[in-house]
Amino acid sequence: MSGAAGPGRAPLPCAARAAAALQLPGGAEAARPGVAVIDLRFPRGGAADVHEIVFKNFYTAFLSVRVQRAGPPGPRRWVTCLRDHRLMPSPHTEEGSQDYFSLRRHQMLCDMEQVTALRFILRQPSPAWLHFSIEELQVFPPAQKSPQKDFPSWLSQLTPPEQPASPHGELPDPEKVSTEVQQMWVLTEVIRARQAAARIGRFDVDGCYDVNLLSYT
Amino acid sequence: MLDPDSGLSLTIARIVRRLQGSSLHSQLERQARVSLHKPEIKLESLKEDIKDFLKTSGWEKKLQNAVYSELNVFPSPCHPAAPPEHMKEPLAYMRKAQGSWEKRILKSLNSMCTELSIPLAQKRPASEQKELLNKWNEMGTDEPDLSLFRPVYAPKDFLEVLMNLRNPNYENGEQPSFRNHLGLIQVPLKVKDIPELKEDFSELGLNTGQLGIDDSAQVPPEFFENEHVRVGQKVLAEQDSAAAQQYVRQGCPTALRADLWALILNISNQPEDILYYEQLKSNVIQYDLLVDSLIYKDVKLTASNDDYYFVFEDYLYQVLLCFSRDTSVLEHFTYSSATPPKSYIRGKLGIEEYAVFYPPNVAPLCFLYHEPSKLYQIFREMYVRFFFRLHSISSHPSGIVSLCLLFETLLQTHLPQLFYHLREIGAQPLRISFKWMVRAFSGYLATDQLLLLWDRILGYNSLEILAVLAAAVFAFRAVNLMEVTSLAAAEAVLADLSTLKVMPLLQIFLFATVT
Repeated sequence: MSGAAGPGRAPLPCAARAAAALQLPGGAEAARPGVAVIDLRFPRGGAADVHEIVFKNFYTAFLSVRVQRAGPPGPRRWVTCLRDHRLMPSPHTEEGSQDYFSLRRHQMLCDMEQVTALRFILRQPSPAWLHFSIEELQVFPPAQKSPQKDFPSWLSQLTPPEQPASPHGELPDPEKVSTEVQQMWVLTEVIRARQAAARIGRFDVDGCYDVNLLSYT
Repeated sequence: MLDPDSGLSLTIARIVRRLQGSSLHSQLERQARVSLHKPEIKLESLKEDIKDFLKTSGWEKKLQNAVYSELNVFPSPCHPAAPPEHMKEPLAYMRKAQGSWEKRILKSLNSMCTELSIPLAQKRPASEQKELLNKWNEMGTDEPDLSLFRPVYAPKDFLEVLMNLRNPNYENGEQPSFRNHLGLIQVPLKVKDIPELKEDFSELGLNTGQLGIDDSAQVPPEFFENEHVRVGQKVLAEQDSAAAQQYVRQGCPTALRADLWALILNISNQPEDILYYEQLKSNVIQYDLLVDSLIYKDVKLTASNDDYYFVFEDYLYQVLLCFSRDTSVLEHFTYSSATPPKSYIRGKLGIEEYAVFYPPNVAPLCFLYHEPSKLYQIFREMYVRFFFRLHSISSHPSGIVSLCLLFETLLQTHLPQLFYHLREIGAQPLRISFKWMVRAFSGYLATDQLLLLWDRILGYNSLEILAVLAAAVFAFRAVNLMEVTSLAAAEAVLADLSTLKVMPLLQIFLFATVT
């Protein structure tokens, strides 16, 4: 599964069962109920902290999420952590129907520590769509503190030390100059590291005008 | 979707990356360095003093304009997990349809190449180059033999493709139901209804002054026109893009239009831009592209025969030939659903060129700008902001599919009898109005009316007004249309739009129709 994980973030391995539509007891024909459920468990009954859930929508209008947490032995309860989150602003039309979504910890109603199972309840009240589901489901743990790759903040907040009485009135204080030069050097390093996206100028591949046919791929 | 904080920081990062290294960036640096000589800049508060200097000398305004322009052009950043094609077009079936449409065009171009045994691109011999350079300002006098060239496609073909667009996950049942649209477009995109349009286009309301209505001969200019012109001059003096965009919603005075449009599109005719245009011109002189002949043919057939635009024939060639060689336009493909066709040169990937443009869209601009390089930049900017959406398949609210659906929905909702009648006689309204919308009405309206309409396109940063105007035209001629009995007769009723006044039609349709 592809997905741009941040530094130090990898999706948790988990097994998701395919969406199961709601069925009324005793009902035989495949009426489209508009409700489906996806269950997700961690391998070997493990538990993990959940920080973010990322998925691609496929025509689901509303999403509710319930979790089961590791706790005292006994019958486990399902706790609702997201209720009727709207994915498609207008369920009869295409808006939001194939977009990517992120659900973060601060949007959840309950704690997400030591989660053993997640249940996604999908609702699509519009009869216009043949199928609905969510795809490319990924669950991320809280990010570890990664080592600072940017220049440390203390370097940009250097305060010049107490000014001693300058022996030479006209010359600038050497401490101050060296501080500022150091700051500027660090900033140039940062700027050099960042790629600019602006075009530099004309860009011609040699011989690029000798084309014969256009390709289809 | 993205929550607001990460969305904002992504947007900021993207804008910074785009502006870094641009000529504006180096100019700001140069100004900052020059300001160090000024006495009011002190070393202790260097950063603050330089910021104040940039503010008072107007450079901060230029930076603001550049940022505003970036925000307007590029869509909001996608979710980080989304692949790049998702930003071009989120719906998979539309991407697929656009891909097959492009393949069709490429096939047609390639077969034209092989049939006529003309290479796609070749270097001109030196004598021909000299000749073209001498004739650069009068290319219209050339009469090359173009009889063998066929147009690659007509708007009718594109409409057929749009009509056959279907979402495989949508219930396209055979029985008539609320899901089957009565018009030609069958995709369930979200379009606005009149209350929403009234809110969006609130500056076109009955209580607000408009150029195109309140500057007519019967209205004394003290009521609106003089004040409006004064405000326009002030906006130009301030050089503020966002204010200009807001101002232009009520129309642009003719004398200020060229400068105001350049301000909104953030075009400043810097020496680098003139140099860029000259480089493109030298590319045109040195190399001959197959598409050039197609451009010639198209311009000869359309603009040269038009009563208003034939004077600009030479300008059109100068702009369009350069445009087809401009690789900077490739940037807009990141947010367009189209993909530029590629070609292989001896096994290596070469430059990408494209084969779709609409010459009449350039012609109205010729009324405003006389210098080829500025004219070229304005055209290019308007293309990458708006007009490219008119001939690629996408779900964007300003894309041609949404415009067609908006037109049909407005007509159905507010003129149901007319819609039903036209449908019964086999004259689906979209068949008539499609060619207007796909050309942004250029070539159909009188030029001054067209420029008033394009003022609003710039002001509202959206093409939806084209669909509203198309519905308003049908509403205006509804009485005549109810009496026709065939598609040809309906087309005849709507053949001549050159006497129409755009702003009263829009106002009546949006704000004065009893629903």
